[in-house]
Amino acid sequence: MLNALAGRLAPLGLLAALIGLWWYVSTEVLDRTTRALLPPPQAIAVAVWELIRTGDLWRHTVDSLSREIVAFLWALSAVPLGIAMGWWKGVERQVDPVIEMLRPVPPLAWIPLSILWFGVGNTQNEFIIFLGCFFPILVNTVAGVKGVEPNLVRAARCLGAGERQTLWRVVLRAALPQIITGIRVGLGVGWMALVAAELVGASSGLGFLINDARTVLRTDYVIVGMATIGVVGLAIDRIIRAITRRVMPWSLALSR
Amino acid sequence: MSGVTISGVSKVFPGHGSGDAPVVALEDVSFVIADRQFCSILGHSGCGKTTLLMLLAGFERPTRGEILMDGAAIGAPTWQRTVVFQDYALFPWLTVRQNIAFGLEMKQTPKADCQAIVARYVERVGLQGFEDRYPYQLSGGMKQRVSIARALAVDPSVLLMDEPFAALDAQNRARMQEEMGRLLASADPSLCKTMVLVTHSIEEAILLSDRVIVLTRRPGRVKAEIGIDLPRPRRETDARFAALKQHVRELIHDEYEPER
Repeated sequence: MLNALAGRLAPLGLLAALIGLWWYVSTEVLDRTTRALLPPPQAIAVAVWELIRTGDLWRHTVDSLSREIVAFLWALSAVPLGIAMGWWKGVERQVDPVIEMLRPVPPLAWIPLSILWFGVGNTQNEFIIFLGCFFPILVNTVAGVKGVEPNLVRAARCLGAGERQTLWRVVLRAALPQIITGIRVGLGVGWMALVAAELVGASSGLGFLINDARTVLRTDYVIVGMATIGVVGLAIDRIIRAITRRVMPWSLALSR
Repeated sequence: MSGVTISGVSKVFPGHGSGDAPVVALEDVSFVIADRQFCSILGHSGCGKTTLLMLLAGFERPTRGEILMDGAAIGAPTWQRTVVFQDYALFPWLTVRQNIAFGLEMKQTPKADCQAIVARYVERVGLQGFEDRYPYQLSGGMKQRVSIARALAVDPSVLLMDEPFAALDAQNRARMQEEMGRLLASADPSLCKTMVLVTHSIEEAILLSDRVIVLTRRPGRVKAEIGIDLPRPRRETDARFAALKQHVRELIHDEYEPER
């Protein structure tokens, strides 16, 4: 019983040591003025509670998440475009040069221009997240469609499926595991881009929270905000994976 | 009537790189498959036999010559000519039942009929109890049964099989061949179709076919046509079976010699 517990806790050893080190540096090494730069763990716990009680943490998280979701829904347009590019050579020939020119520009480089276009606010933030989301989904969808087993398409054709039916009932589904991979990557990149966009162009959201806290030297709030960003990012990825397992049990079997 | 006439068919694939020589897969292949005949196309790997099947299905067009079915040139793929693939090509996101129903749905078969037909073919290939499994939950032999059921369910006039048993282990292969032989011997009218089997197994060809077409090494040409009129069900231990096998083996062996 005790052994089992020890076994469970063993992988957390390094983590515990790091938190211990953090606590030591903060309380023993730093003096009262510099401690503001790295508050001890227990101060962070207090800050979490404060931010939860006032509802600030919830409000900022919801604002950030809703921007992520709106942008993601727009970015899903990469799926039909990617399918068209992967399926019809002519579409790819036309679209590819445009994509290849836009894709290497990091979403963050769009921030100044997008502020001029959309002003500071939701639309601008969503635009930046959209850019972060869109390309991973597109690239993976194109690769997914091109990687569809040719015999699956042939089987559909000889069983009487027309082109539209083949695309909808076979190509889309066969490419789905890779499209989901693109969605996972896209949501992750979008989430990172979101925080950056909110740092400069928002009056709410987790990115705003940490930047705002910085200006008043509330390092504890900054750290809580950073931790929340990490936790939410992880949660998004886990949720997508759980949905995948539920909806496409066969896809995991394929990747095994 | 669903006889197939292959006349003067050649297939040349362009080389991949710009400097690559084009590959001649088939050269001037002509033969006739009679209606409801079981015809095997036998040859070494790389002799173009799969290419020939792809042409018959309509996935590819001949470079020269033509393939006629019921007097009309073969066009785009249709459910009149379904294919059983060596790698099964089952839709991994569909269950056994849904895989078999796929072609019927494409034909817009009424739901009730569809269910009845699927149930019939599930029974015929012995997959009762596995209807709701996904392909990844099935063994190779079971997957190939699903694939055969799926190809037959749409009631095609020609069934094309591309080394359907080659990916199976020896025991499963023997069992599937035997079952196929029994199905053919049962004289079930719905199974009485024109069948084309591409294979490199001499035993398999003799066991199942009315006629065997032996192809040469690349480029594939017709080396010999052999009618098999042994009574069904056939047994490999039969003396006439053994004699035929020896005869075909010598034909094939001739083809193998220059390669050494």
